Amino acid sequence: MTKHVFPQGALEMLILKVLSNGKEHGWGIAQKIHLLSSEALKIEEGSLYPTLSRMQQRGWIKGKLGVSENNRQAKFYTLSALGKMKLKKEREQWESMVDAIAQVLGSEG
Amino acid sequence: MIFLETVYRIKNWFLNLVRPGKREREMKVEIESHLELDKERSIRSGMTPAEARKISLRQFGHVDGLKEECRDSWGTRVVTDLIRDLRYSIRSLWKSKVFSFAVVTTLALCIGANTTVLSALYSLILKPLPVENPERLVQLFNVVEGRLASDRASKSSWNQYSELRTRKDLFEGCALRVRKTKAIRRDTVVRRLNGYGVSSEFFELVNAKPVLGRFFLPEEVDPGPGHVVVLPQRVWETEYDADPNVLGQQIHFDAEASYAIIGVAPRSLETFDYESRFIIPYHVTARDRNPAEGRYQAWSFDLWLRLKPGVSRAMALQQIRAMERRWYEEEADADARNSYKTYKDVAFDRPHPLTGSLYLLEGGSLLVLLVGCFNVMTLIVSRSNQRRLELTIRSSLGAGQSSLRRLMLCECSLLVAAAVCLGMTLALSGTYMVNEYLSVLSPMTVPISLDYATLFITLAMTIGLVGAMGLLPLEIFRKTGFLERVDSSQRTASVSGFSRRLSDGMVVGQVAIAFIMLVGAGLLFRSFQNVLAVDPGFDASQIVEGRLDWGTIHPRYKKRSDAAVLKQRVHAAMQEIPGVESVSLSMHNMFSADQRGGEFVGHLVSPEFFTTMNMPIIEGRGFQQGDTDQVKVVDELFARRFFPDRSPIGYEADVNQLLASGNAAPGIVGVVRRANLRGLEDRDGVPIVYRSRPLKDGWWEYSIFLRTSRPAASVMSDMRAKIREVDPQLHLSYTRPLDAALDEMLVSRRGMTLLLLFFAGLALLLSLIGVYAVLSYDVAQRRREIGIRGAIGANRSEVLGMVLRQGASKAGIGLALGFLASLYLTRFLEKQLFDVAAVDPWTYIVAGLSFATVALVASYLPARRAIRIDPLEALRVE
Repeated sequence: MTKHVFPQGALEMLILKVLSNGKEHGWGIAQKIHLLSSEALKIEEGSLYPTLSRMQQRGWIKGKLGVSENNRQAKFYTLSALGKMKLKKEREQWESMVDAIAQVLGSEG
Repeated sequence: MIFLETVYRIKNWFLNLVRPGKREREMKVEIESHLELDKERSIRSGMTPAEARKISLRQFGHVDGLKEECRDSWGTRVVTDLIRDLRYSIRSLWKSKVFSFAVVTTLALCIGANTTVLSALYSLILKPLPVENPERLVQLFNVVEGRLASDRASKSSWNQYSELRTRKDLFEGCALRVRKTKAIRRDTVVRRLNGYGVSSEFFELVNAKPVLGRFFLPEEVDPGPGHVVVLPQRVWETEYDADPNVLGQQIHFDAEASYAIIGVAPRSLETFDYESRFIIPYHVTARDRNPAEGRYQAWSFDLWLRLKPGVSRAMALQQIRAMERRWYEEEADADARNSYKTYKDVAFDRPHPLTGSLYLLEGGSLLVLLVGCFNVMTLIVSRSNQRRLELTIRSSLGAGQSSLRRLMLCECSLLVAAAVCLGMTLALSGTYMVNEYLSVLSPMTVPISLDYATLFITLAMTIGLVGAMGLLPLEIFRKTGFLERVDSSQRTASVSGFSRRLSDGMVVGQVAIAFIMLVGAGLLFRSFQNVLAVDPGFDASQIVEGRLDWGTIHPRYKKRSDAAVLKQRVHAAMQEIPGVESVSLSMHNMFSADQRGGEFVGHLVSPEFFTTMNMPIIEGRGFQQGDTDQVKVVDELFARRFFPDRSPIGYEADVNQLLASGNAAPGIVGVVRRANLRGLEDRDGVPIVYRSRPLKDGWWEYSIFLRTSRPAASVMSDMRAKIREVDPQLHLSYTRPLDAALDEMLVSRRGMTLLLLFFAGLALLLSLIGVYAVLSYDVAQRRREIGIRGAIGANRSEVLGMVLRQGASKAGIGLALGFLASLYLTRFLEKQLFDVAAVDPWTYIVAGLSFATVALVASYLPARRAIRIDPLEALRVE
């Protein structure tokens, strides 16, 4: 399994994307990213939770305690209106950047 | 979007701050649930629960580090750290209560004393007048014999005013003000009000704008008389409830026309006379205008001048001097020429009468502050030395310089904050006390208050203190590289020679300063005792005085013969009061230190004066009925000073010169014992020449002296009643027992002596604490050494001697330094001393001995602790 070093802001974007499908807890977010990336991306707990905490502080996501699928207390995150806007913007930026990089790489050297 | 984000951040930051537990709990749940979910997944893939848990924990990594990282994002760390530091500081200060108490009390006393004295100094002396360009507003005074006599004696005359008014080349404006006393009678109660009369330019000169109504028109003042009055704002607010309809109301001054209120003057005018309750136009009288008498004798005016821009004080003074000289050479008559030999100079702005005392007190309180700071530093250094183990451990556990510094600053801030609160409370009660004194000493002065200037200085001082107190010990440790070394000897080794030399130096400084203050206060105390021991020269305890003023008598008894009749009736009425043994009158106002200087002063009295006052005739005779006012009785001091080797009887005492002649009959007929009618401190001051006038002579103002063995209070009320019987319109300006009058003249000296004694006592106490703290610390430090000394045979007296010698050497050096400094510094006290030399051996000896005793006690306590050290136990500590 290759370890990916995320570019600045990419983790936030992935989290926002996962949450745009509904509420989820930290473990679930990590799992979903893992699965959706066909197990290519593995999120370290050490960076996941501080990032979540920072995002909550900035008001992109909201955190609330709830009951998880195994009947345990867990903290669930949902996307806020600000988060939705953020996701859209980040995504546009990301895509234009990827396009730009692809153009450079695809050019006849 | 950025705006929204900022709003969220602030909202969440605030929520985290007020509910710190919520995020913490959520975080805990989150991590726990993560681990559980991970574990379940691992179990599903076939692991045992224990294995699963281990694996997920390993994967998770450093949980506490993660938590810290999350907490960082909450943004509340600054606050929580501060709260933690504060909580820790409070706990540690509470644990060393004695230390905290000593520091807070010391600082509070220093801050309180300094703020009070500084406020007084600022309000009374340093504060600029509340006018535009205050540096250009000056007051003219006449100088008598090279010194400025206080109060009335050196004010200006009408002639000076009318001449200076025309000098537009020097002055932009010129205004006159004179104090007035008027009486308002309601039923039988007479209230005497102080106020002043002014020329029409006055309000403009001091930039006063009416709060209500208007000020005087020129024609209301000159030619006048405009019966109009302006009320000071304070009176308008307290007595008229700030009623805007007050304009036009009438005030009826006793037996005079009523005055219409036309305006209210602003508070800024209080600076010129706080006491005043009314302001009226000043109408010039014929007496004022009389140039021969007026120029140099009717000195009752405050003359305010505003210098033109570009005209310096020196230049203006020079011009006025030239003007005076010209008048003297061209216009003065023989009388004035005689006077002018004595009254010959002018000056601007007289210092406040309390200036000397206030600067002295300021010096005293600054010294106390210095001692206090030394003391607190000593305490802090020795406490930090005791805490060095704790600090070392903190340092080696990873606390950086900055966090240690923050902790120390936090403790010091707490101490200083407590001290400032307490100190300000003390300062408030201090200013209250000063104002009580001021209302007696100088009622014209606006009461002092703690204002921004002094608060600012206190604040700056406080911040400096916190910084110095907090950082000094750490600085010492840093300098000695002490926190970096962690080894076993740490617990017992002395911290550093440097910090020890520092505290030794501070103790020596404290002792020196305290000694200086003790000597100063001692000298003042001896002076005070000496003043009290002065024989007043008359029987003060059994005499009461009542005063009838010109303003009371003259309006109704304008003719001299009417006044003479009144005087006889008053005299007779006084003799009817039961228990009165003797009655006499004196025209001159005595028992006030404020009188004109000169080689001697004259007192015009009734013939029985010496009998009433119980003043024995030493040589020749006293007054007899029928003596003219050419008959003079001089006092002992006069005889001693002007006739040191012969009898003055038969000679003449002229106002301006002594005529050694037999022709001016009858001249001096007797010598009476010296009576200090101008205060006990005037014992060696100005000689008095008494003249007498028979009872049938008319006077318009006089004091009545009654000699009685009855209680003063009831005699005084009898006096008032009798005066009303004589003429219901008459009233006494004041009544008082003479011992009270003498006592009142000592208020300023007593107050200053008490305050300086208090300061000196404080300094002594502080230096005592300093010596004690340093020695105790030293003994604790050398526990092991003393133990070894004991183990190898040093006996108790040797150990005791060792510690006492240390205390003695510190105190000794301090005393020596203090002694040398006192020899120099006490010269500044000389003006305040009475019958004591500035280098009074007794004061020095007593101060030295009391210091030695105190230092011995302060070193004995630690020494006793030293001899109780058990060698075995001391060595076992290792």
